[in-house]
Amino acid sequence: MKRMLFAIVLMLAFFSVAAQATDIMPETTLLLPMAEGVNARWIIPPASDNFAARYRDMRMSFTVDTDGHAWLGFADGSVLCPQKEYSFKLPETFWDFVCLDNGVMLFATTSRLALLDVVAGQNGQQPTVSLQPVAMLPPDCIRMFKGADNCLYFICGKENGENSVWLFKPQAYRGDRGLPEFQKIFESEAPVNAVAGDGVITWVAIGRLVIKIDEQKRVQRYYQHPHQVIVDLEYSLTGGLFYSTPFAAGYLGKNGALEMLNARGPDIACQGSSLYLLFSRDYGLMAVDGISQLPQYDQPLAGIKKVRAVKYDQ
Amino acid sequence: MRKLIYFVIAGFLMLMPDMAWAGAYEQLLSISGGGAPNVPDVPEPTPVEPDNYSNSNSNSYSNYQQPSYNYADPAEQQRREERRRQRQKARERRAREARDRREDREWEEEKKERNEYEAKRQIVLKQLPPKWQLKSSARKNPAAGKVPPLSGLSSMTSMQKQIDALQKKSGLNAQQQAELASLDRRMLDLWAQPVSADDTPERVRRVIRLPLGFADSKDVARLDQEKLRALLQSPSDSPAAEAVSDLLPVRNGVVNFAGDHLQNIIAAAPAEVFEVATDAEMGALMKDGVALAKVTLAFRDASQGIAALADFVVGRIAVPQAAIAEAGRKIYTNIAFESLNNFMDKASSAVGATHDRPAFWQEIKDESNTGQRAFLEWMGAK
Repeated sequence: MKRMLFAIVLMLAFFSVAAQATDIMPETTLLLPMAEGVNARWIIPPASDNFAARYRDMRMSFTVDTDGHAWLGFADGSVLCPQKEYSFKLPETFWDFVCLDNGVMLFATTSRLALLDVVAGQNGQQPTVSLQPVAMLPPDCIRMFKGADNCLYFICGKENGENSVWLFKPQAYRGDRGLPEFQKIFESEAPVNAVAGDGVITWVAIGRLVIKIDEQKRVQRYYQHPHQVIVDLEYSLTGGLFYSTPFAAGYLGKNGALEMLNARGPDIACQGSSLYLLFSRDYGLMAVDGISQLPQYDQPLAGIKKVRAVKYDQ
Repeated sequence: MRKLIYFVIAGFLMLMPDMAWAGAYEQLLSISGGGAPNVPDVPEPTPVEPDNYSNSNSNSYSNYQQPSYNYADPAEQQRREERRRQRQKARERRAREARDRREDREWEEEKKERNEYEAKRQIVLKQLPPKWQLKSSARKNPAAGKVPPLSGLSSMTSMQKQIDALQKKSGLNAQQQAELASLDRRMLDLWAQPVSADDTPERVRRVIRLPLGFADSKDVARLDQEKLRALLQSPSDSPAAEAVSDLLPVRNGVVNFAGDHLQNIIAAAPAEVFEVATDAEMGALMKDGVALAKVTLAFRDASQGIAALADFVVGRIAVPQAAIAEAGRKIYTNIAFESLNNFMDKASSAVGATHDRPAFWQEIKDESNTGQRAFLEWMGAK
């Protein structure tokens, strides 16, 4: 009898471990170089179904601050940082926000660039968080991107109109009056999906194509994804260029792509030597550390040399 | 009897006009000096052409001589037209004068009414309690109209005016340009003061802006449709274009590798590349997931030879274990707020914690101040 009871307890323990082990994310695969320091880790586990259901249909902005904390902004004005347990709702609507490496958090409203501001409450009321406008944005801006080396990129344009990319890098460019100015760096007849760079070299995504604009402002073909439209680009000074499509995210070198994640609607951000992958379906957040080692894999591929796997039909 | 009285009154009323007008013309003549005014002569009636009807009715008067012509003197017609025009002008002048007189009279009446109303209002105001008077005349009260002190705001406004004035001028000399640059810099320095001051009104806060401009868009890289088409069709300059053509997943880099392609390799197990691994070996490959395969990729060197080999792990991501997942849910539950900025109390109490509200606001205030300082530094203000 004791033996039987022990066997049952053992089986239950085994099943619980097995259940944990097989609790994998659906339709998601990860490919990582097996190198020291390169590994994936969970930052924020997936959110509850209620939370995901509430925000799933809202337009979302995602950025990571200098301390590696993820910030999410939603179309209803909600801003939250789960790791710091910050959350507030802005009275103004904004369509994008970024955290730069120098600690500046900037919001883009309909026509203005704004900073976060806390206004003291009047007559004993609690303070409120609002946006402090700092400057006018270039006309018809639709997206704002964090660039490396503390610069900002903006994609502007109207539907069926000309599209343009603007750069704002105050520490590097000042106008005739000695003041920082927005610079238009690229014009296109085709819609621009994403932009990244460091203010010197810029990459622009148009459809499946990624174009490089060098220091001499020459436009060159950089990469074309074989299957999917590129929707986001991120550039890290240590790691290089990263991209995301509606179904994948990966590293983009001179010799091609290294698609590290296949998942539905991933959102990416770079900070330091980590690439952050946000699963837009359940708001789980992973970090891939050691991305500074990825450029060493940017070589012409000769093919698959070996595949080691468990043969299940043995 | 009453009917009879009505009848008599009605009869008097019928006779009234004649009685009232009796001798009126003679009185008028005497007023104007005893003679009739210069009334133009009425011309003789002009014969008109007989119509068919009159002809048919006058058959019996066969000896009647119809007028043979219809003559009108042109000079007379001109004079008549001139007189008619003069009369029209006189009428218009009289109407205009009457309208002016009426408007003057109305304006005078309104003015008089306003004066009377103001006089009455002053009487009433003097009789009202003092606090009512304060309320009704707040603008005159220096205490009520006091503007909260805004450090730096007036300086900013005056500087902005000077900048605007200088910008309107064309062809600034070196001194003016230096002055403009100096003003811009001082604006940058002063900007933080009203922004960080707690007493800056919201309407002021919203309009304070830095003088950031837009560079002249010369020398902009441009991509038209034709060039885009050429880029899409042209082979890449990179060596990856010459990569292996029979291995689709690696032709453009390792793209969508973990999908069908890897599954097919595992299923078919081709002897040239496939090696059987154990569960234990696979289990050790990934910390937060289940490894599917360990893949060794070959890279080429410039002479197309194999330069290097690199190992990659391909796997599925495991959802964090129950305890960690629960922690994550709590994190997100904490921030699933319902109302504006007071969620922390409720959310924290829901999970058994106490939220320190002042500490939270101080922390976020510090964070925003740090952000503003970093921003100004980024702008080159400090």
